[in-house]
Amino acid sequence: MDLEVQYEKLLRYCYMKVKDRYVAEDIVQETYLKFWQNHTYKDTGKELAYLYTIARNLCVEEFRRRKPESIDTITDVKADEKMNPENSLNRLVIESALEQLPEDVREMMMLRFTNEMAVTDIAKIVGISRFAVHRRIKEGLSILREKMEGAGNDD
Amino acid sequence: MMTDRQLKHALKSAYQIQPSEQGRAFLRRYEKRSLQMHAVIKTELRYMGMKSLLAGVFLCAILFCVARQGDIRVQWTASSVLPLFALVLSAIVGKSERYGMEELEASSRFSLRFVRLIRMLIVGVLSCAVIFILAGILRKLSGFGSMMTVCFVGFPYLLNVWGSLLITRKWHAKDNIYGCVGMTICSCLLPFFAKFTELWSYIDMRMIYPAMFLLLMITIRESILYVKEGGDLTWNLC
Repeated sequence: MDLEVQYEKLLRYCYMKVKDRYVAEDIVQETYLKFWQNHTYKDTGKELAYLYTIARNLCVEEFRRRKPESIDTITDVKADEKMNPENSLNRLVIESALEQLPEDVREMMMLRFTNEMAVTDIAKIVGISRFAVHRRIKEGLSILREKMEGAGNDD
Repeated sequence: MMTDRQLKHALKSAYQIQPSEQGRAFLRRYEKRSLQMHAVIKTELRYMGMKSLLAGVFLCAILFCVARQGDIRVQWTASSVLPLFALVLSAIVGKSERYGMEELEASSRFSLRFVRLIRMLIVGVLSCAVIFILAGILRKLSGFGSMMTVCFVGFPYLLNVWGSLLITRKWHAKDNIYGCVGMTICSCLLPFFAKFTELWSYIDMRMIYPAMFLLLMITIRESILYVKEGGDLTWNLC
C-alpha cells in the first residue's frame, strides 16, 4: 500500500467524519506529520491502525471545535465535483443511508468496504474485538439495506 | 431486494473525494523512487555481517567433510547438525529486532517488509544450496532415493526454521534468540531420538513425504506472516 493510495483513503475517512473536504485534507496532512514525528515501529504491523487512530483523534478534536456540516452541504460539495449525475445520485443515496446509522457502525462499514481495511486493523482502531466488529458490520449492512430499499420505495 | 454484494459494491463509492492541489503538493514532497533489486540485495549482503556468514560457511564446511566420510551413521549426524545452520541464519534475519534497528530501517530507503523479504530470500537460497549439496553427498552412502535423502536431511532443519520464525514473530524481544536456541536443540536431538527409538521400524518411511510437505507449507505460511508483519506502509524518504 503506497503513500498516495493511503492518503486518499485516509482523506475519505476524515471527510466522512468532519464533512468538510478542506478540513479533512488539513487533518490528513497533520496526521502524517504526527505519524512521522512520533511513530516508533516497536509494534510492527500496527502502523495502519496507528495512522487511523491519530486521524480519528484529530477528527474528534475538530468536531469539538466546530459544528459538523449538515447533509445539505454534502449535496453542494458533490455538485461542485461535476460528477456523472447518476453516480452522484447513487452516492447521495448511499451516504444519506449511511448517515442514519449509528456513528460507530458507519465508521466500521466505511473502513471495511470503502477503504477495504482488514477487520483486525478496524478492531485495533475502534478498540473492540474482531468478533464485535464482524457483528456490528453485519447489523449495519442489514439496517443499510432496509434504508436503501425504503429510499427506493419512496422514489 | 439488494444483495450484500450489491450493497458492498455501492459502499465503495461512498465519501469519494480527490486530494486538492495542496494535497498533491504534499504528496509530491515525498516522491517515491523506484527500488532496484540488485541494490537491495547488495545492501543486505553487506548488512548481514561477516561473522555470521563465516560461522555459517564454517559449519557447512564441517558438514560436507563429515558427509564424505563414507559411514552411514554420518547421515544422522549431518541431519542433526544442520539445524545449527538454521540458527545462524535466523540470527542474521532477526538482527534488526535484536538491536532495535527496525525504526531506522523502516524510516530509511527500503521498507522493513521489503528488507525482511530480501533477507528471507537470500537465506532461503543459501539453505537450499546447503541441503541439496549435503543430500547429494549422503545419497550415495545411504542408498535411499534423492527425495528421501533430502527429506531426512532437511526435516530437522525445516522444523527449526518454522519454530524460530514462530518464536521471532510472537516474542518481540531481544531475548527471543534464546528461544531459537532452545528450538535448535530440540531439532538437533530429533534425528537421534528417531534413531534410538528405532522409529522407522514401526512407521513406514514414506510417511516422511507428507510430513515434509506439511512442514514446508506451515514454514512458508510463517515466512509470509513474518514478512507481512514488517508493516503496511512503504516509506521511501530519500
